[in-house]
Amino acid sequence: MNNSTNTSSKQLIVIVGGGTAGWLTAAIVAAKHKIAKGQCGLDITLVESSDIPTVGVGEGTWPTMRNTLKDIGLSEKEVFRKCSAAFKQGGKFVNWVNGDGDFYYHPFTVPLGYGRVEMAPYIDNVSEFANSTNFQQHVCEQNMAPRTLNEEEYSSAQSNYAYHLDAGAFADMLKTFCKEELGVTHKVATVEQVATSSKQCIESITLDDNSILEADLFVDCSGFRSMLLGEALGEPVVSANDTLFNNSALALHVPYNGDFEIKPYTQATAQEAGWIWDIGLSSRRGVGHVYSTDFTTDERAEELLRRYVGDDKGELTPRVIRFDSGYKKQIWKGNCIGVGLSAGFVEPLEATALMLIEISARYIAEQMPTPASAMPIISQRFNKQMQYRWQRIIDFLKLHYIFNQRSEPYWLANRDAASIPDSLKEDLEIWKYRGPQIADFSAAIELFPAASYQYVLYGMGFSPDFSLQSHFYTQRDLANKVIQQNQLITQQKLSSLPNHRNYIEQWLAS
Amino acid sequence: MPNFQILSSEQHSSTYVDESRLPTTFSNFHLVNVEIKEAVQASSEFPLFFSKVANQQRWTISALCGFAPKENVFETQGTWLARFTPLSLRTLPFTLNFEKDPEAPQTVLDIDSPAVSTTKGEALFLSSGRPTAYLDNKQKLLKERVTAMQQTAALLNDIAALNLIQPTDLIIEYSDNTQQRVGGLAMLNEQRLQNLTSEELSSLHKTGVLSVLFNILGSIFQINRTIHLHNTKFPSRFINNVKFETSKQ
Repeated sequence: MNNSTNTSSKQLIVIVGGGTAGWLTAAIVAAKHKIAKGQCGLDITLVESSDIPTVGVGEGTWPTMRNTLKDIGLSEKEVFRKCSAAFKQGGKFVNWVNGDGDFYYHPFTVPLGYGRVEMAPYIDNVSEFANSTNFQQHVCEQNMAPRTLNEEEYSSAQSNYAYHLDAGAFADMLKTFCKEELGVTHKVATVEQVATSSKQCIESITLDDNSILEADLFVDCSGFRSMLLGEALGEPVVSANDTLFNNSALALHVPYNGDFEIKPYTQATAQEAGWIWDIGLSSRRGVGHVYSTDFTTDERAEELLRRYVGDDKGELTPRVIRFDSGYKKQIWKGNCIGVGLSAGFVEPLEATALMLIEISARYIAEQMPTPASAMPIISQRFNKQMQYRWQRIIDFLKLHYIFNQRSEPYWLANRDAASIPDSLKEDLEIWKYRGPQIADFSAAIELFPAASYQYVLYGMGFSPDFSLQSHFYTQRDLANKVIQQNQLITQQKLSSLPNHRNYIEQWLAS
Repeated sequence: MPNFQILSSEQHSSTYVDESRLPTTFSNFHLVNVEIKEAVQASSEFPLFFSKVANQQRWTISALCGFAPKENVFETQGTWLARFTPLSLRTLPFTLNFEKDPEAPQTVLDIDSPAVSTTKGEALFLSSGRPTAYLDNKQKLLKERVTAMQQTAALLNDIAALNLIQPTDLIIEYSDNTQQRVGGLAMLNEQRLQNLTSEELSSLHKTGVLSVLFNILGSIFQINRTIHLHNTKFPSRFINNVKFETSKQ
C-alpha cells in the first residue's frame, strides 16, 4: 500500500464524508482500537466538507444499535438527551393488506416458544400470529416503554428494543466523541481530486487546502455521490428498481402539539403508490412519504403526506429526496470501501441503512490493520457477504408488498411475478407448505431471523397449507400452553411497564 | 376523616407520597376490602368475611383486621405485619371518584393521609405535567381494582343467590369477662356448601369460584392471628375468645 507519507507505524484510514455513515464508522473502528483516552491503534482521519448537507433522515435503527453504542462507549442516557431519542420496539404496518385500517406488527422480541415449537400450524387465524405469540404489540399499542426505571441503561431484559433518533444530532454527538475520546482526526476540507491506480485502488486524495492524503484504507462515506468508489473507481450500481418501485421521498419534521404520546414503534402506513413513515422522537416526529413517481406525482404524494399529518394549511415544508434502489457488488475495491449510501440504498421500510453501516464498520474494525497482501482476500470475503445481504434485504422488503389485496396500479404491479426476485420465489415455494423455519436462516451472515419473516408473512395473512406435513404437528398441548403463557406475560408487562414518554422524561430528569 | 382533593398536575406538582408511611394510613381500617381474585392469597393472612358495602346493596369480601372501628392490629408502630396487602390498601392514599362521571372516574388524593408530604417521598408529576412512573403505577392499580371490584360483585351475587352467605355475629369475650357483639358480617354457610347439587357445584367450579370459597372457609381460623395481634397491640383489652353466632334474619 501507499504508505510513504505516514510517519507513524500505525495504519492509516481516511474516511471521506461526515454524515452519520462517516462518524458512525469512525466511532466503531476507533472504539475497537482504542488504547487510552484520545489514543487509537489506528490513525483515523475523517475529511468532511463544510458545505455539503447530509441526507440525515435515517432515524430508525435496529436493536443492534444498542451494542454498537455501548461498544463505542456512549452513555445511553446521553444519546437520549442529545439526539431526542426514543425507544423503538418494532414496526407497525397499517393498510398493507386491504387498506381498510388493517394492521400487523413486526415486533423485535421473538415469538414465545421460538426454537421449541413451531407455533403457526396451531393458530387458527394465522394473521393473529404476532398477537398470540408475543406481548410486544400490546405494549406498543399502549405506548409503553420497554423497561422500568429500576433497570439499568441498555437493559433489554424485558423487551428487545432499538431507537428512533435525530440523525443530525447523532452525527454531531459521534463527532464530538470521536475527537475527544477516540483520537480521530477531523479535517474540514473539500476533496478536489482523487488519484487512482488504473481505477483499481485509490493512490491519494487532494484537498482544497492543497494537502494530499494517502491511506491504507479509504472509506467512502460521501453519500449517494460515492466520490471514491463510484466516481473514481467506477464501481457500478446493481439496480433493484425493477423489484422495489419507490424512487422518491418527501420528509417532514412534525412538532408535537398539546398533550401527546410518543409511539414506541415505527409506523408505516401504506398509501396509493407508496407508504408513509412515522417516527416518534422525544422532541418531534419525523414523517415522510416514500413513493414511486412511475405511479403518482410529487403533488399528489405531498397532498397525501399533508393529509396524514393534518397539515391542511401547508405550514410545514417537506424536503424532497430522489433515489435509486440498488447496491454495488464490489463494495470493497482495492483499498477503498463504501459505507452508507455510497455502498447502496433501499427504501427505509425496515430501517436497514444504519444497520448496514454498523456491520460494515465492524468488519473494518475487525480486519484492520492488515498487510497489503491480505487485503484482496478480506475485501473479496466482505463483498461476497454483502452481496448476499443486499439480496436478502431486497427479498425481505419485497415480501411486504406481494401479498397485498389492494387494487391501485402500484399495488397490482407489486404483485406481478416478474417483479419478484427468483430467490424469493424459491423461498415462497417452500414456505407455501410449511412456513419459514429457523433452519432456513442458519447462516451466520443472515440479517433477518425466521421470526421476522414469520411476523411479516403471517401478519399479511399468508397461510401455509400445513396438511402435507400434518403428522409433524403433534404439539398442540404445548402450543396452547405457550399461547396461555403469552397472555399471562402480556398482562404482567401491561401492569408493570411505564408509559413511554413519561419514562423518558423521568429517566432523563434523574 | 379523609380529605379528598381531585388530583391535578397544577395543584399537586410539589406533592409527594412517602410510601414508608402508608402502614400508618392502613391503621384506620379494621375491615379491609378484598377482591375475589385476591381472596386465596388474602386467606393465608386474614380471616375473611362477607359484608354489605355501605349505602349499596351488594356484597364484598372483608378481611377482619381488628375488632373495633379504626383499629387495624396488623399495623404496629408504623410497620405492616402482613405479607399480603390487598389492592384496597395498596392504592392508598388515592382512590377513584365515580360521582361526576361513572365512565371516567376522577383520581382523588387524601391530602390528610400521613403518607402525603410536601417534602419527601415519590413525586407525582414531571415538570411537563405528565404523571411520574410512581403515579402511573398507582393509576394502573386503581384501574385494576375497579375491574376486580366488578368481578367480585358479580360473582358474590351468584354466591348469594345460592344462599351460601349467612349473616353472622361475632361475640368477643374479653379477659375481664365482658362481652361485645359485632354485627354486620356474614360467613359462608358450610352446610349449604356441602349440599350443593352437582350442577351448582359444576357451575361454581367453571367460574373458578369453588376453590376460592373453600379458601375463604378455611381462612376463618386466621381469627386466632387477629386475636393474638390484638392482644399484643391492646393488652389492656385482652381477648380470650371470639365466637360466631348465626344472626337471625
